[in-house]
Amino acid sequence: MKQQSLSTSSLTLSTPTSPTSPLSPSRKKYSTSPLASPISPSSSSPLMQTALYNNHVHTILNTPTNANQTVESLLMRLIEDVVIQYTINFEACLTDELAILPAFRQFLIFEHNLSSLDFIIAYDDFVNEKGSRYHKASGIIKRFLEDMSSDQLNLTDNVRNDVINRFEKYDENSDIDIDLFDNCRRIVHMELRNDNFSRFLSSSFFTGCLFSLVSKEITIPMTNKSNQLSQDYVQEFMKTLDNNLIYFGERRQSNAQQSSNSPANSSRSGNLSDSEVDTESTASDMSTKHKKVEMKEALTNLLLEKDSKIITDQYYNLFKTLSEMDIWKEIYDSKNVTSYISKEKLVSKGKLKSKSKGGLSIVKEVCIVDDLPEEILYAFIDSRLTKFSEPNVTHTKFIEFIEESTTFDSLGNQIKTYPISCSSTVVKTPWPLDDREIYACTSVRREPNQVTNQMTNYSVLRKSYEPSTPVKKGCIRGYFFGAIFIEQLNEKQTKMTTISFIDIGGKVPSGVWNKIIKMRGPQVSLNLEKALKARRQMSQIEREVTSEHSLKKLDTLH
Amino acid sequence: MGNIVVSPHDKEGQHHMMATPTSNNPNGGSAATAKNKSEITVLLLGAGESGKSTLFKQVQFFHGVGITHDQERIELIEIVRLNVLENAKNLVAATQHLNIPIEQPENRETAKLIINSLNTNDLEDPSWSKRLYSLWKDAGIQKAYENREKFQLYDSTEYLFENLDRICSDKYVPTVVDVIRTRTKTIGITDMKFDVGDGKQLRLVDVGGQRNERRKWIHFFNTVDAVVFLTSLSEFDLNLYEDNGYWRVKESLRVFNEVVNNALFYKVPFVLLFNKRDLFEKKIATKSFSKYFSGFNEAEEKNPVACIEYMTKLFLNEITEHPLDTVSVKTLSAIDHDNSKQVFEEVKQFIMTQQHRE
Repeated sequence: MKQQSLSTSSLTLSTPTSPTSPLSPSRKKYSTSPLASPISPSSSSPLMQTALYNNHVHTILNTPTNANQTVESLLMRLIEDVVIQYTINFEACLTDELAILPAFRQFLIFEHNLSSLDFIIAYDDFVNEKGSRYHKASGIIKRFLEDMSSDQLNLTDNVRNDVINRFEKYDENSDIDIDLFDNCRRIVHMELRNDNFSRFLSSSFFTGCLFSLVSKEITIPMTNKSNQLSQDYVQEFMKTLDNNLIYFGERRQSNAQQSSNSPANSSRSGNLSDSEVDTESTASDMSTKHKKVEMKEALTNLLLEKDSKIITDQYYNLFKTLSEMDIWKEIYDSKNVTSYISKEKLVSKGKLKSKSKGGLSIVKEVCIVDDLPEEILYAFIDSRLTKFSEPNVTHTKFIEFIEESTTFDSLGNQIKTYPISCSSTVVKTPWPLDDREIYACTSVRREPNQVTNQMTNYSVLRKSYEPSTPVKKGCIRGYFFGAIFIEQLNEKQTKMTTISFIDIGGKVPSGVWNKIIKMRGPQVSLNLEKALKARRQMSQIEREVTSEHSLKKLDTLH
Repeated sequence: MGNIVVSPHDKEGQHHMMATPTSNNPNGGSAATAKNKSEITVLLLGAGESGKSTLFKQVQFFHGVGITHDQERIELIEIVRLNVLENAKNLVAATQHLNIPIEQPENRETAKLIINSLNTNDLEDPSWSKRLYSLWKDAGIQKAYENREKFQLYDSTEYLFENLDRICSDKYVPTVVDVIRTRTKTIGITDMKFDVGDGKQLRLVDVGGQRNERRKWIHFFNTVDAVVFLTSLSEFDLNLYEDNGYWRVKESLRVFNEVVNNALFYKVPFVLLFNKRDLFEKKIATKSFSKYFSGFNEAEEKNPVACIEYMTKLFLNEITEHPLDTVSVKTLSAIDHDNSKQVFEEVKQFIMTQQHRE
């Protein structure tokens, strides 16, 4: 977090030995950045504190004291300045097993509190144990709870003894209460977050980790002089950083930035500045809120209906509404493709009893393509082309075709169901995750073109169901729910909006999952282009999409 | 400049931290001795809830680090509110435990909600300010509060309840005082560094104080240049957090004895800080001090100076190995900014002088 120097202080802040190495134990908040050190007069200017990126970048690049800094340390400082604008979510960090969690672990080793994290992991293991929990419980008590145990947790006597006394009543054959350690876990979790985690966020362990994440995506220039960095480069760096941070937190409303340098009145100014903002709570906010609740319910219900192989208008409308609601945050943007994830988890996880920690947010991808709706539809439903359009989808197998029919909604009204084509696929996921086997039914519907009113646009709906057959060996069952809206924009261009919700089953760290989704971003239009190109190269006869090629998906279209 | 080496994987699977003097010493001495070494490591030690982290926060604050910044304090909203809830829960639980009924029916309703469902986000709603305050003022709760030595309760309870109107609002931003007053149990070890002139840096190390945490202190014992030992004056009627039934003063004396007589600290300047003087003076006004110390003259028990003198003797009597001329004793009220600043400045001077003498 950002530090400020007090001009009244008789002491000066330390200069860092090496703030750049992620494993350097010298923490950022104690290692002064020139921005806040007494040698930089700009440190106290209000501009610096309210600075948005442009100001930041500009000031940082043009502060003379920075000219001799290495690029790396300059970029690290940019990261520090951005990080303090975010509220970082503890849970999200804990599930990021590839980057943030290992960094946090290193930090806890440094702070001598690894036991708290290890306990939380051991707790999860205990809770997820399907067989007898006796040995796991006994192991936890020996390691974390007993007096003088190797990783003894800092708990009150009462909390500790409660558990130990309860456990003593069990023997090897008893069913151990699953909530045996709940209270301990609650306390340890809270204290880990409030104490160590809050310091972790302002340490070089965290910023270093972000630095390495960002540097995987954009090249860090080899120059030694930071004044050779172009403004454009820094902007891009910031954007990449934001794209990474978005998985772990939310940018705060910049409401209380006009803090004062003087400790005497900084608290007062904090309250004042805060009271001046954030007073908007309009009726439209309320209705959005209400709508969100409705959507959440509808979506949860849809996902709960895993047994039914039915698609009705209700589902089409649900996804259409979702795509138009103000619930999206952008995670990737280029000329042709914009990817979003939903700002909040729209599905009540508890209800689903899903084991997946991640994947509960919804993804939206908007892609502008130079072709006609029909071509795009064919590129998707022609199974000869899925290897281009969806290269991760393999082993597609047709299961059955179900004709349109009627059913009753919850109010007892008769409603129409669409004809569907059912198929199974295996979705490849990056190592070390297992592939996902997904059963889904698909239906295609014609939609009117807004200009011509002709039925030349399309919607495709896909909905997973639980098959009666066991899951394929080496795979984990996954569930997919989503829609593709294909709408012609003008004579040349078509907009394709994909809304997808994937319950990936099993345990996938949300960080990994988010990464997968993000990496998809640029691929979406490239893959589609490839499929369209392959289609253009087909002969006239080949271009004809048949019932067989489309696994009867074409037959759902009337 | 001090260079810290972390060796996360040594043989015992333990993690030692070593601060080693390096050759790029601004004083030019490559073979740095204790006298001219550039980093002075000061340990804040003491049993649980003696005020180590409060002092640490104050030192951070007057060096412009951390909570000076509004944004950083916004992050602490939840922690402040958690403190409020924990306090309320502990008080309600105490009324049950001590068999003191909460008097007003509407306060009993509030108590139920606190135990069962209330969470920190709910406190955004200003109506909770009134409800919680009314509960706080309930005769039953007040009676439990008067008997707070019988259960575990944060020192900040009264302060937080008196500031509910600010805390229970969606506009709430914790003040610096709020943050200083908020209890967050330190787990593990943390440190900060700042320049103290002459090209020297002071590295202040804060630790957790409970028994299990004390086993981690050893990692610093070989590199320490000074020890500041805190003990709470106001704990004379309290039992331990981690061992209910064990008198806190006895624990403090025991820990003090172990630390001060430790051979590794033999030549190290040692400061004993009697903290929570403010609370102590309030407490002895209503509670008997002599009840807890048989050797103390009962007639003097309302005189804080006499009480503190007695406590000082008690602690100094524990010193069997450490040279007394390198021990300094002071009182402190760590929640008081000015007092902390002054005392810490004196402590620093004492340490620097001792270093120099050496």
